[in-house]
Amino acid sequence: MTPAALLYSAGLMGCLALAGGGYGGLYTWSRMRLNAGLRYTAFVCYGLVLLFAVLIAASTPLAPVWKTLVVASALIYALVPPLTWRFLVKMHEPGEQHP
Amino acid sequence: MSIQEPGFWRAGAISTTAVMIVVLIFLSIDSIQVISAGGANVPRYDVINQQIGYRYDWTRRMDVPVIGGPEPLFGTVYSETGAQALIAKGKLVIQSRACMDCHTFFGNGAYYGPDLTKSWLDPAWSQIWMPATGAKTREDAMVMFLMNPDRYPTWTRQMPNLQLTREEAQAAVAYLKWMASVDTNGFPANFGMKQP
Amino acid sequence: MYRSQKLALHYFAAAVIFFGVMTLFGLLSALYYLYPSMLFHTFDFQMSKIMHIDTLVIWLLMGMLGAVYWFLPKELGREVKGIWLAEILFWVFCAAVVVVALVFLFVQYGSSDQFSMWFINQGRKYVEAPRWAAIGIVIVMLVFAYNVIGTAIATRRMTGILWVLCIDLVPLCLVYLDAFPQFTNMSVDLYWWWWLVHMWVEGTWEVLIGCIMAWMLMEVAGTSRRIVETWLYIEVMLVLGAGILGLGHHYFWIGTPQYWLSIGGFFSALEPLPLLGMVVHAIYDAGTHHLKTTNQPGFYWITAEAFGNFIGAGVWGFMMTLPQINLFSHGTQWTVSHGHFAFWGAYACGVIAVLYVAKQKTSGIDYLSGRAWKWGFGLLNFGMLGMVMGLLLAGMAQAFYGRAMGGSTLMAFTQSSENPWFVSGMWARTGFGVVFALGYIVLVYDLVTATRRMPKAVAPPEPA
Ligand code: HEC
Ligand code: HEM
Ligand code: HEM
Ligand SMILES: [Fe+2]
Repeated sequence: MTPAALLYSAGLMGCLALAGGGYGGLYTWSRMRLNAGLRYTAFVCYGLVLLFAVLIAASTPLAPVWKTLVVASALIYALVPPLTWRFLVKMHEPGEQHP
Repeated sequence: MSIQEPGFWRAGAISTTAVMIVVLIFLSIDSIQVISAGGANVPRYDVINQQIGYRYDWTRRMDVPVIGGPEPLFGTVYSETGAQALIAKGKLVIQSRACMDCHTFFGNGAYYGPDLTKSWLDPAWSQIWMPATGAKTREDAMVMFLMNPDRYPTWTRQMPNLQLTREEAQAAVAYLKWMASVDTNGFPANFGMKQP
Repeated sequence: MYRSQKLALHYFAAAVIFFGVMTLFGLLSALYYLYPSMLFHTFDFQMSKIMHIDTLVIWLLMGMLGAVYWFLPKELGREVKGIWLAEILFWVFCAAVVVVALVFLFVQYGSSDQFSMWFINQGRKYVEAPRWAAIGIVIVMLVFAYNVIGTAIATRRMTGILWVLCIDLVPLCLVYLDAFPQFTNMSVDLYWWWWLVHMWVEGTWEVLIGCIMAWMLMEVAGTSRRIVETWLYIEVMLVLGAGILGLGHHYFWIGTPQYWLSIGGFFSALEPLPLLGMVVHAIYDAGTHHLKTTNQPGFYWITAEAFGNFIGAGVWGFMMTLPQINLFSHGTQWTVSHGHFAFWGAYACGVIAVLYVAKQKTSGIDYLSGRAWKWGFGLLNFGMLGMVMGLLLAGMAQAFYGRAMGGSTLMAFTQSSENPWFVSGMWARTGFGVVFALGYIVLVYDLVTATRRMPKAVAPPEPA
């Protein structure tokens, strides 16, 4: 790995995780608030997740296994916040009420 | 059992944890064999009687230690038990002075001083400290430096004098030589092969 | 109030004091990088770093013990079993910490024999305390375990949170036994040492703070027990499912077999997921309650804990956890950046949240807010954020110039340390460290006086 590629790859990994967090957090918040703007921002974050994953796969010297891991988890991750949301709602149903 | 039931997740937590612990135990049994002195990655302590190098291995695609021919330390060929005793002393020196709270070993510790993993192979010994101390060999320069680091500084951040006796300094040097022979999967990369 | 809760208040006070000591020695440690000849041969860097990281472990441990002593009697509706023993041990614990600190300050180190290991300095990172003191900590932890488990047995009642806590205490105490042995072989030494360090911060402590946060959510947000317990099980499953083998990210370069590169990389790459789960849950709970709370600072610090844990541990860890990257970032200020952010987010914020909740309950105030806590919150988090950014910059410069380009020799190390990026990073870290320290002062001021400044009974304002 060249020095420049090192910082580039690490930076992309960090951005990937941050964008993933943005998608998860904003998606949940948008469902709480029934706010379409927030939902839109959440999907933009997910778009960034995909973008960073593609950049990692296409332009870093990481080994193929790691690239596969990154791309596969980025794709699977699309479903995680919606499923978590459904689960949270179900879990809260009998007891508490949410708006 | 439905996924809304706490019991479902309790069972999941217990079984996942149990599986991971079992896997970790098996891996640890194997790893400890590999890293015991004389194991696949960590040479016996009497490796200090031999030459030690560090070279890029094209099949493994990483830097690996190379154990060469005889090269006695301090002009002595140590027996296996003698080497073991010396290295054990070296480790006590390293712990008692808390070297690890300024330096890193295999990259673990503190970051105020340089990493000592391959310090034995550092070109600084021949380029800076052998001339500075007037010592004839690398190990003698190392002993002199470790006994009086404040006398031979190379830059603003200095190593303090930690009151090492000659025996303690020699034991620490033996320790560093042995450590340089450990196969660390290529860390640090390109050691001493590039100039900044 | 239960005696156990009074004891908790003692633990909280001690934690806050040691937090201050830690901050002081953090600032001192940072100054050596700027003024290397400072205190030369009087009090060198290594002793300052030891004081900093050992008091770090102590204050967080005290904060978390305090939190459990606080919530336990409420959970079971009864005084904690054997509380008198715990009360005595609190003072023994404090006295031992002070004695060890005095030895570190004035004796500093010994010669290379077992005497030094028993009475002066063991020289193993985070567990430098001499063995006699380590035995003391084991005793404190054993009595703590006895308090928790004994109380549960005495009431013949177990809750889900308590099950998790009791089971978690076993490995938490067991891995601490790692503080005793003196291995000759550095690879073997580090192998077991990481069981202590990683299994604490990414395993047993994470579960412990999970239990404490579960109680906090019930207390502050009124979430139902069934929900927090279900969520706790999920967290435990994910944290330990990824974290136990995630241990492998410390086994890349210490002589261990090459398979750890794949195992460690894979499992630790999964570790951020449960941390994100906590963020999602925090957002959900905040939303269900319309951000309405009777304890503003407590609520904000819980939120900071969730976000800080995810970003500091999750994102900062993820950045450098693949072996190809870690080969260069390993053992640089990059590591320090992650270490600060993660400890801050995952544990420090959580402990501070508990302090505020306990504060409110002890003074019987209906609604806790004010202005000072906001300053404390802002300065501490802003200071920490600035510090970790400075450290990241410095660490990247070291990885770039020192490791990837220079090849990690003394020459490469010195040159990367003189690089302007590195130097600016060190200045930034120190400057923001001062901001952080100011935040600490405000925090203490607020913790001492907040309830005096608040009226006794005031209805919380309507949500925005
Ligand atoms: C206060 C911090 C500190 C402590 C404690 C410390 N060192 Fe150092 N050490 C340094 C610094 C700083 C340097 C760089 C000195 C220089 O270049 O002038 C250094 C340099 C070295 C070097 C030369 C490295 C190389 O690769 O060229 C060795 C070897 C070394 N130390 C070994 C030790 C040992 C062994 C101990 C414990 C007995 C120890 N150090 C304790 C700060 C420390
Ligand atoms: C004023 C604020 C602080 C300053 C200036 C500071 C400074 C430092 C310095 C200089 C080091 C030594 C790093 C090295 O070896 O080069 C260090 C280590 C460390 N500090 Fe701090 N610190 C501060 C606050 C904190 C806080 C609040 C925490 C945790 C909540 C913390 C946790 C740690 C940890 C875990 C390490 C060990 C990191 C490692 O060696 O990888 N520090 N700190
Ligand atoms: C609560 C959570 C965490 C805390 C408190 C924490 C703290 C720390 C600390 C203090 C260190 C430095 C250890 C030392 O050398 O003394 C460290 C190292 C490390 N952490 Fe974490 N961490 C956490 C979570 C994570 C996660 C989730 C990941 C991965 C995604 C991670 C990846 C790493 C890696 C790769 C290192 C090694 C750094 C190096 O090579 O020098 N950590 N962590
Ligand atoms: Fe770890």
